[in-house]
Amino acid sequence: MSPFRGLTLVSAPPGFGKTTVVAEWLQGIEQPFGWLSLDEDDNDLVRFFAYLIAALQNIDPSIGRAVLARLQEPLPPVETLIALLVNDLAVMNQDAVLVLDDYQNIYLEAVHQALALFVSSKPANIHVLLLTRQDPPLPLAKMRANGELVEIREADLRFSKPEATTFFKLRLKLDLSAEAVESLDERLEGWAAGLQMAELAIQAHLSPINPGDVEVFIQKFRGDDRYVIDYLMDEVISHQPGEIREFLLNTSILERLHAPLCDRLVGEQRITAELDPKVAWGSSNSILEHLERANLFLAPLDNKREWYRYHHLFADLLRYRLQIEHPERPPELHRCASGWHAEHGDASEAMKHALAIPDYPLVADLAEQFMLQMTGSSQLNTYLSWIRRLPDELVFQRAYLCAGCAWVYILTQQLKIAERYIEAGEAALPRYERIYSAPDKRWISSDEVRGNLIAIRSFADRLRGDLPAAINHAQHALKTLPEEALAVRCSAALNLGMLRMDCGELEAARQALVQAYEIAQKSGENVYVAISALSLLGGLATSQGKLGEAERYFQRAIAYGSEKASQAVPIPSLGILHGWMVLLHYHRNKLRLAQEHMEILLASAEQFGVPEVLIRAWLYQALLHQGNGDFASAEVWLQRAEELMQQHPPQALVQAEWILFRGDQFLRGGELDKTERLLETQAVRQEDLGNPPPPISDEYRQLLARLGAYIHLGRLRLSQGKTDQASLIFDRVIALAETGYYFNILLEALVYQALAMSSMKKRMAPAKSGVAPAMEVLERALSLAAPEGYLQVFLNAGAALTNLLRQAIALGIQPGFAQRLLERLKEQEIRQIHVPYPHLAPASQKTVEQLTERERQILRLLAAGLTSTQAANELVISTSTARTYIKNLYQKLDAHSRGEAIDKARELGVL
Amino acid sequence: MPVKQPQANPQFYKIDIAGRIDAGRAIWFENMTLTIEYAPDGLVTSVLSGWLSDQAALFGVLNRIRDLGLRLVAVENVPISQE
Repeated sequence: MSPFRGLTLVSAPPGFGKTTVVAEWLQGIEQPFGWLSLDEDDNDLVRFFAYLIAALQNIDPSIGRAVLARLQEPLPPVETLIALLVNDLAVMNQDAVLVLDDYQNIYLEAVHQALALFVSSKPANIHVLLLTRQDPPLPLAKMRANGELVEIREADLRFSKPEATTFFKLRLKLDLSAEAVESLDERLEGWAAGLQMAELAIQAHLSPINPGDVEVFIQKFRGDDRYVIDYLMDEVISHQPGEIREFLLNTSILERLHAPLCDRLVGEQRITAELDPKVAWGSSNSILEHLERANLFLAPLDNKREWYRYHHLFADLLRYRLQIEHPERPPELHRCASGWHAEHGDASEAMKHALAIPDYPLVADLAEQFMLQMTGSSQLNTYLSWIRRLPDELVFQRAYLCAGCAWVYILTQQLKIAERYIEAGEAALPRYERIYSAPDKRWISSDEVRGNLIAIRSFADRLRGDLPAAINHAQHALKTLPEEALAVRCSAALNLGMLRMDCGELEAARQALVQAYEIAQKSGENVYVAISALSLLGGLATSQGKLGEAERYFQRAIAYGSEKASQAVPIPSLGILHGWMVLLHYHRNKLRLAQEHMEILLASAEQFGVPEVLIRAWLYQALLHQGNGDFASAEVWLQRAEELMQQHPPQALVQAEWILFRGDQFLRGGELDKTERLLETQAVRQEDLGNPPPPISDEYRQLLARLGAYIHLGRLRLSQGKTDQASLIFDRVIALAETGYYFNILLEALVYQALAMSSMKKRMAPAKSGVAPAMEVLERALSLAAPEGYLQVFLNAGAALTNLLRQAIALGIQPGFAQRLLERLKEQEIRQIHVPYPHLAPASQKTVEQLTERERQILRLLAAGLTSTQAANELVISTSTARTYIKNLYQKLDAHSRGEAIDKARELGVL
Repeated sequence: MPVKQPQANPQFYKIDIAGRIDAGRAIWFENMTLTIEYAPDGLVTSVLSGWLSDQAALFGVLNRIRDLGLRLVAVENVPISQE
């Protein structure tokens, strides 16, 4: 098999043996293959991709995991899905075959487009075969012209006369006369299904008593003008024993046959038709085996001979005959099949049969029975497609079904429609009796239905922004829902926890989240809730400065998620957990550990390609470089994140994180003008702090979410020598952070406040008595930071802290921790990480590092009056690289502007 | 149940299929009438004819012909108006 970029199209009417030919070819080759038989249900992108990947995973189980994970979320553009899939296939170093059978069942344009894109971008080692009854709407002419299309068509699939002769010889073990074969072939025209049907008809006429019968049959067949298959079907069917006939007709409504399922269908009919119970054939199992042996158009779907299907054409003809002979039967048979599938937990198949009748009360019953399973998983869209078929009058009579509809609509953020169903559900509640939930194997009490409706109300309140009502309803739901309603209880508890967090009620939030986690763990199925709860608990602990506790939560979540992920598909939210771990280790200045989690976060973010997660991952990578003093690398990652942010504006929280990292980059690079501009454009203004909005308002929450940026504003003023203003800002930030357990921010503000105050003290006459105010502030910072080892915030403030720390040790204030900090600062100094606030640092520590040759070149060009862009062009480097050099230059020369840099360089004789 | 809107513009179609098919088959074809035509040269054609509400209905019939392995010979939109 040589590499082929294009597509192999097997296009012919039914009965030409497309499937057989390809299946036999696959038996003879060594390469692995995936086989996807499409049906009408696959006119849904999510379903199509899910089954496509299932087929491809037959080739290699690692294919398409990223795509599967993305199907659980709002669907990204098809291009993204195909790109992810092609990436997986590209790393596979072997030839493989993908067969798409029955493609004529696809009519959804989106699937055609997805397939066209896949075929045009797939690697050449993947061979795609498309089997269809009609040419697909793909650019076939263009593909033909480009040599990207191999076609196997009707003419190729017809049996030639010698082939037909061989066929009859082998199958019938009988030498037909040349004349007889001629007669047959004249009618059959090499049509595979016809040949097979003729063989069966001849078999039926073979009798040792009267060997001439076959010739008679062939004579009659030739003389008959009826449509070939009609004639042969009659011959074949009418010669079957009564029971086989019944079996064929009754099971014709099944897409897939399975002995126990057939037993049910045939048994049902036996009673109604009052057939002889003393049957010769026994169970459906033996009938299926017989049909397969007799070549009666039955193909096994698996190696274990558990599932079969009829050849399409044969099934169609049988169904037609069933309709003619027993028009009353199909609804009963469908009901029977639906019941069997429902009992065996297959909601989708059960629903298909119910909809085929269509029996709407049955559809409604099934929608109720499978509600928990369907709404708790990623099958919201499928569930939606069912309930959309139901007339409102029917739904409105059933409280539990109303709840199911309301869940789907609230989870897809369609508030108005959801509320309609909540109200209808409440109105129907008095008439509710009880429902058996098949997958859970338990009865749904009316309390559970009521609890569901209340829980949905809470979600609706939250969407509307009415937090007090949402909290009320969430609590009420938890009280109303019975213990065994695990899935709904854990969602309600998670919702309550998030609502409490929104209101700043952190202890109550913690309790609700712990409850959510415990219930989810008990059920073992609500992985998403369990991980979300743990993740939020860890976040909560972090914001309270309890790093140890936070670390335990995150690690438990990672362990739980990895355990569950290995069973099914990867979980995108796991990446975010590693993001939390990065921050946690960063605070403790354990940068190497942070980097380990960083690698996992980056890999996961890139695998799933969710812009928001990518942005965060890149921002955190920048943060770690900043922590290591590598500002040039940090700049690269920041810019990467910023480019993506332009295309995909992230939510407020990520935007707030970006301001912090970008602002720090400017501040530590001494780019005060840029810092000023950044804070201005992001509307970080001193006056916001003077008159904060009332607590539990949206404005208040927004202010707190961006509180860190105000520390930047204070640091900017500090760098500008406006110490009083800076101190005032830090004061306000401290006051606000104290109210809401914004531990990191509180600590950082205290550190910089201590710096600001110490520099004020320098200017003012030093107070002789007692501990200086700066030391009081620092003491608070040190005692907050010491227990959990918050080092990084002090290290970021840099050498300017040295004197204060020495004083602290002298005064016996947290001497151990302060000593550790001093040592770390010293190491940092030796590694020349950064010298922020040089004018605050002791003069003795000012050193001028050696300039590199490149930096010297740039400095000369700048001194000659070139702009940074012109300098970059002159040296044939990019402008951003030039800027990085210039930044390093400024740092080394302790300059904040070009003029200052040139002056200092001249002073030092470097220029 | 959504009620089917009365069709504004049904069309009369005549569909020729090679060979003679069973009269009962007509129930599979949206209640079209099935007639069998015998040409003097022995060629037998099954003709489905009747009103189809729209193009979707027409394609439904054509797909069914395809799925039953029948051979489609001609499709004609007969310009007559419905009483």
